[in-house]
Amino acid sequence: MKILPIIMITASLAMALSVQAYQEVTSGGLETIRGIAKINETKSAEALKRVIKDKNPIQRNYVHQPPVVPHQTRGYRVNKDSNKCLTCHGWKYARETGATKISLTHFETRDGKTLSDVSPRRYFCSQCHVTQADAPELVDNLFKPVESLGND
Amino acid sequence: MTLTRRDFIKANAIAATAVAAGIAVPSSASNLLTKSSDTTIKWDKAPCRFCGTGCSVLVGTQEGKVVATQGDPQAEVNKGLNCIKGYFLSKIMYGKDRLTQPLLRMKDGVYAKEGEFTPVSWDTAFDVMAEKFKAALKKKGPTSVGMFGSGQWTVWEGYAASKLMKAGFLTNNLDPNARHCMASAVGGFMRTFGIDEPMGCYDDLEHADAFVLWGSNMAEMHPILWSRLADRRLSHPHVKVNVLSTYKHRSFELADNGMIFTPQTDLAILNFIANYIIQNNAVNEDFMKKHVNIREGVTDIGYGLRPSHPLQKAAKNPDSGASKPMSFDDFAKFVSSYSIEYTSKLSGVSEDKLLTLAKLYADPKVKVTSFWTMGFNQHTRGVWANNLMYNVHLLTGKISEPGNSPFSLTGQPSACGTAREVGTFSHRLPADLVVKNPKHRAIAEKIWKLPEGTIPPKPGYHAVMQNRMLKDGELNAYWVMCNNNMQAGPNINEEGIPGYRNPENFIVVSDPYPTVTAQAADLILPTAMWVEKEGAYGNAERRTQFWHQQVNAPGEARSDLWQIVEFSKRFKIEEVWPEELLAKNPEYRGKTMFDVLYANGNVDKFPMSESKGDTNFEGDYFGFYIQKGLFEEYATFGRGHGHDLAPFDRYHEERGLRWPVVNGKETKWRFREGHDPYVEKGSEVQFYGHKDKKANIFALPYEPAAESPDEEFDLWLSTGRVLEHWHSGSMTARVPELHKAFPDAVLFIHPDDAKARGLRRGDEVLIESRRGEVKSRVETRGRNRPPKGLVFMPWFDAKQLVNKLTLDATDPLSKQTDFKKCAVKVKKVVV
Amino acid sequence: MINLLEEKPINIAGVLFVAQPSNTTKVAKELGEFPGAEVHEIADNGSMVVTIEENDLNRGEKGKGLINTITDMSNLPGVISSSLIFHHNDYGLPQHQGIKV
Repeated sequence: MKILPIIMITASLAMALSVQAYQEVTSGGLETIRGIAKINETKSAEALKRVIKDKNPIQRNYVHQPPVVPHQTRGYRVNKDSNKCLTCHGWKYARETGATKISLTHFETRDGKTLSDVSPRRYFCSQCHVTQADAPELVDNLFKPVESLGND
Repeated sequence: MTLTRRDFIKANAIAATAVAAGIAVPSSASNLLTKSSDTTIKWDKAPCRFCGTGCSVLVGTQEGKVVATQGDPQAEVNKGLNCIKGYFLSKIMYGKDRLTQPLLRMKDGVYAKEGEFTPVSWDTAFDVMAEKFKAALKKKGPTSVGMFGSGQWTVWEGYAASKLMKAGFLTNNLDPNARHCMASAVGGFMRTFGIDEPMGCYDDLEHADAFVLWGSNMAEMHPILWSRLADRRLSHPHVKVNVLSTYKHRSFELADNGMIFTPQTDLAILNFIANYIIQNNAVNEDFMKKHVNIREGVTDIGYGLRPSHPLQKAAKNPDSGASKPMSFDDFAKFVSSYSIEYTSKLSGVSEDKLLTLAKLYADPKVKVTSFWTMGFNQHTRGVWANNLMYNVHLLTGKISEPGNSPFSLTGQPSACGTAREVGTFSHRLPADLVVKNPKHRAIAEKIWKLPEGTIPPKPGYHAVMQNRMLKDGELNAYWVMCNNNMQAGPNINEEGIPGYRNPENFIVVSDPYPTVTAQAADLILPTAMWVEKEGAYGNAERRTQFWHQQVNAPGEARSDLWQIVEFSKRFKIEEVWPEELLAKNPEYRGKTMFDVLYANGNVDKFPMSESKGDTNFEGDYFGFYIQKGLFEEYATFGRGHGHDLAPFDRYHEERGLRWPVVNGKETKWRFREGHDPYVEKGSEVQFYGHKDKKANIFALPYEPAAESPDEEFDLWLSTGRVLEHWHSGSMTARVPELHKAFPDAVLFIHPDDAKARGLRRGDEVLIESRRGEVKSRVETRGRNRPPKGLVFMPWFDAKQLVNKLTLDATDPLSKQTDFKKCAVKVKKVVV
Repeated sequence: MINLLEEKPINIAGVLFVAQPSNTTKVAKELGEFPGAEVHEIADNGSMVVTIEENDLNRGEKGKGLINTITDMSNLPGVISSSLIFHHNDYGLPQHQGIKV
């Protein structure tokens, strides 16, 4: 919690609206995800963040945390007919491409059978594996991983 | 001893497998693990904190903190899987800016509307709050106090709140944020079936031959259900997936038949399908004769705007849900105007795609499951859209059996459990009872041990109306709990901000984090979340799931339950009830609201010795097993009336049960003999929500949206969610991995529309509507691909408050806002 | 201390096998005989915690590989079900691809 000194911005907004007398929101010193910007302000939109390019695998905090994607995926086609991710991470190709092999856990079906390839229920990779943009954290996170559950 | 890395990983393999098996971690492994961590990790189950799917997760805790989460292999819903949000549940409680003390706006040591947020004790917070509520009650009576709750409340929190407002403060001004989310679905169910919530269950996913997604981007919004759907489609090639939306999104990746339609024309497409079924003799006549009535609904019903709005004045039958019986022939004639040519032209969907879709519904051999979410519900004709969807399934009899299922999905983890089943809406009571009905009120008053006439008969202010009444100075003491409505509600500039900041009003916001709603408040109460309390959620397939408290909340943060019940102690019953009510129950004189509502012999019936959890803050504080007491009192409403819940303790043992739970058995498909114990032998199907045990088909037309693009505001704006963030992002934006996965909202726009405005990907744009403006960045290549003439913007990002643009037009029947349609213009920001 | 730069890459799976409770001792013994497999715990209800590690005996070129080994184990008479719970594979990490870290 950060309580900031009150900032009184009296300049009215350049909005062609019927501005009510009490439409101004005094922040009360409460900082939100918007920083100190008050609700009624129109914030500038930050520039698009870049997705990080080709890094080594990023460490996980615990077993079963899906690894994040350490590279860009723009233009990757994944649909019912083809899956670009699997052309590198699939077991058939991982050795030659040097990509991390998909986990064996992905071969299991809903009713517990082990298949010889990726189970269809795990087919859409991006449901769990996401890219990481070069975006500073909005708020620190105090989560502490336990060493014994780390997987790297 | 030196561990090798191999030993270590192996120990992890053993430990993880043992946890999944529900057996103790073998000492061989735990010794290795404890060497490095000094203490053991305790695992327990909990439903996921996020969407309405209701996945179960295993939560690992150590030394009072959550250290890991994983998908629960024993849970039928998700069988060990989670989506990206679910996998990062472990971090949602640990944002550095968690609120740990009450904060009151103060100047010179006293409360001031324009004051600075100052830490105060709970005592002071409740003193000031009680004073404000008492002042409002005294000045303008019960309609001047109100509460805005949540489909993310636990079942007992919603139930306790309902009692506080309806029986304590004698006001029906209680509504959940679920109003924004599935009120139209409720309206649809009540109108067609006379009983709320889906007849089918998720098992339909493994039985259907065709899926139709109507305004539902399951791939992002219900990822685990999507994984089950993908599983079915990819392992059974005959299965067909149809996706309808006003823009292309991730669910189209699996679509055999993807359709982009012009906003609002879903109504016409549904009528076309009904027409096709009739024209091609695909009506299940036996089913229709036995189980279905046909009714003609009133039309031209307005847009749920303020009565002064020109659109509202122009409507012939504003807010009317009336209907009258209709013959089958008249119905056939009514839908016959929705020809394929007309519908294709109106909707922009090609004739062959429409035909492919209609044939699936018409073919008696194809089992069809239809899913819908916000596309239907956030719609100024949302109840109609729901009704028209059921028309199609009823005409063909494709309902209430494995794979044949019209399935309304919910957005929130307990929209069904808390908002709908508990009845935290302004017109409802538990188990589908309504305040308008004197018999229903009498049932509630009896269970609650209250004198006759306690519950007010007039429905209270619904979500959108609450903001309007705050602005108009009619609603003056207001408690917002477990939601972020200043970001989520429509038309922030014209209704939200003026309402909260109206000097006549006192606004209390309970939240774990400093949200924009908290910033607009006068008093902020720090709140415990998820596994910091014992809880129960009810998911979209009627599954009730429980969890134990697993860690303590930080600082002085307290659960919503504690806040509601503790606050009730501040009121003598004489201060909230009129004399004539008291005279009927003189023994309540001198007691507090707490005594009357919660220490009533029901809620305080069970001692804490019955609790099997490690900790239970509220139970220890109040001195009885309050969660069990509230649940058991609440369950009385539904038992024996089609809403049967199992005994409290059983839910702590199970990965949830789907109600009605009769003789210990859950119900997968309602209304169907052999599945549903409420259906009489030999009747096959009974829609027992209505007295004649029949469902209703409704003749309802296409009517245009409240606000369509014109020359100046030339684009449709649709808002919605993204996979990586939960709603307004107050939790997920604080998880680094999720934030980095989708850091800022963007404006998804067609490349041609961008080009026509001189825009390139990444340009900053000003988006304006008649109500406000917001700045964002152009995205032409992202996961969402709108057609020309429509832009899409997610609302998770507090930095870009897209609801400054939206219109507070609602479905006139359900009062749910249409967040999918308003008109905007977009121009480049020149620096 | 843990040596994080162990030379040999590790590929290990944790699998939950379930057998008829009356039959667990026999099944556990047979499961344990597969190359790389080790049974760590047997519960009264027939659940067994098993790890299977890739080694020279079961490695792809000579043996059947991890996945086929698990499949064979699942097909063993008396096994009711098998669930793959945990999997860790070093192959793909930079230190195992000739990249210096």
